Amino acid sequence: MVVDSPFFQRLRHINQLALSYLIYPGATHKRFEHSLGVMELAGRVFDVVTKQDNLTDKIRNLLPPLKHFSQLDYWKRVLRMAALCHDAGHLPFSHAAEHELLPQGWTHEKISREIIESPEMQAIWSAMTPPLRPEHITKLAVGAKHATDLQFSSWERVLSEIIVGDAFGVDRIDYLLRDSHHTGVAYGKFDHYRLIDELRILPSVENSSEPALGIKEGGIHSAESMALARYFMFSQVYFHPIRLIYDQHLRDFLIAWLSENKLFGGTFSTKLDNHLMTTDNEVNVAMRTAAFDSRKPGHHAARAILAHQHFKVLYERNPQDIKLNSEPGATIRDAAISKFGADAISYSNPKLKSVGADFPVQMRDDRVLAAIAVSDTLSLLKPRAIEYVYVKPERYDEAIKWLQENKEEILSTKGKAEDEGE
Amino acid sequence: MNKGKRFAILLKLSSELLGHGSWCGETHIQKAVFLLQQVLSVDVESQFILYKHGPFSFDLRDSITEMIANGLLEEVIRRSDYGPTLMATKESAGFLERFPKTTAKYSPQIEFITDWIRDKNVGELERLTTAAFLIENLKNIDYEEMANELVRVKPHISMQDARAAIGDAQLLIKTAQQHKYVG
Repeated sequence: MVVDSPFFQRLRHINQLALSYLIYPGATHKRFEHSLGVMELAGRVFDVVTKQDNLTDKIRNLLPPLKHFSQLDYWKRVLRMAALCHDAGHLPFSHAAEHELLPQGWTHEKISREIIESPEMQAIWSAMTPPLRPEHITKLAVGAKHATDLQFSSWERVLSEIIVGDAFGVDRIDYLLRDSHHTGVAYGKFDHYRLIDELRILPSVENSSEPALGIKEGGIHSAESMALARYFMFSQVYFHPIRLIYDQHLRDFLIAWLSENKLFGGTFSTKLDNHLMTTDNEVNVAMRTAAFDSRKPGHHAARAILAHQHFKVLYERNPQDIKLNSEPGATIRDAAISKFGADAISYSNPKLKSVGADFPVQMRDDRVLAAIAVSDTLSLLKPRAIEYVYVKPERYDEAIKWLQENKEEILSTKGKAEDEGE
Repeated sequence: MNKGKRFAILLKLSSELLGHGSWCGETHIQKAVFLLQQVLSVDVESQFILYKHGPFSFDLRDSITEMIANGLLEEVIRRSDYGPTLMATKESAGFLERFPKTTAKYSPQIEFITDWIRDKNVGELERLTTAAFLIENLKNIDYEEMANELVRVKPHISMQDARAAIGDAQLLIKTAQQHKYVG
């Protein structure tokens, strides 16, 4: 019933990796199959971590549902349904610039929540045996970060980690493996079977026995392998400079297209009927129309995408530049806009993700240690800050020369306080 | 508050905590910032919810991640049963010099909180800050009800420890008010 619902079927028309297929032609997979994969993996993790042989009495006492089989059955269903619905609110092309494309205060997670708690879906949850509570599904689907008005029990926190957790979230496991397969970037592969078999609910380290999702020592190499896969996938695919500029062109097109669409007030609609009607297909049609008609809003952005006339990299953040200026990319962007005009410059500063090495490890002698202390590999992995400034192809040569001659002066803050307004 | 000022406050805080004997892991920074923001009205624009070891901010975690990526903070492993210490790098000194007014403005509050929590481990910080969070968010309930609520949201904490934590949090808030830090 859930898979047949229009909200879930819509995901057949939302690309998982936005316009990445312009760089990796095989990357045409959709949120639909990803969501099915997340559901399957969530069930497998649940079975492993709740298996009685894999639990200690201390953990059972802290998490009472572990002692009641009927409750476990209920929560496994909740978890699988949450996994299935976790991406239902995604905008066309899974676009990340939500603060510009949605009304203030809205995110795709909030739309997912609206869907889960909608009358149509409530009817489905009520018809299940036993009936599922929408609030439980919401909590596990979007996690505490995006449901700040809901209080999570320790049990709900552990279950939400199974889906959205930084270390072993099955959302992450599935998208790394699936994106790696479809892009052909082999770095993204790791042994998820072994990883899942070794997951356990463990007490945290650091003088607190709060339960958390961790791993047995035997699985640490699989965990390292996943962390490395993630590192390489971010470098090679998710933060590829050309993928990022296509994202900017798409954002520019969507803003122009939506501003013309008075019905939705210049943003994507958060009404579920309208959400259902807005997929990559509608955007593709509008984009093709705009690309061939210079009078249409978003013509230049659509043209840059469809004719592969994307902006070129003018500046890539260098770790040394932070010593000169706390926001080097933004500073160069502003200087470049002053010199070449806002239409000629674009900027990308994707949000960083933590390495995800903050989890407990159960050693063979039953001690529980911090992952980063057990694994040299995890301790060496660092997040990498990304910033790109781009320039229109026609101004590229001129802009490169200008930056070479002026970069040091632009970035210099020598002798200047950056908190003058304090 | 812009990003540079927020980073400057976090750098100053980590240096103070480490300099006064704190372990200064992510949890220590999280709880110190929570107390700075909630009890001493230093608005670092972080939204805290009850999550990992008590009040936790995903925004703050993102800032710490960004500071590591920028080479301003580094993770140093000191013990295997503890997470890493977050230490300001040598390179961060030049960065901090560019925010003299920010660090001067918030130094008294940072020193006050450091003095209060410098010798506390994660379990103790979890109890203290969860109690402070509940005091702020649950008005008009008595001491015993508050202790019950603390045990309900953190079942691994004993009733005895919960009662003590509420007393400690009340004392902290009262002392901060006496210092006129509360906005």
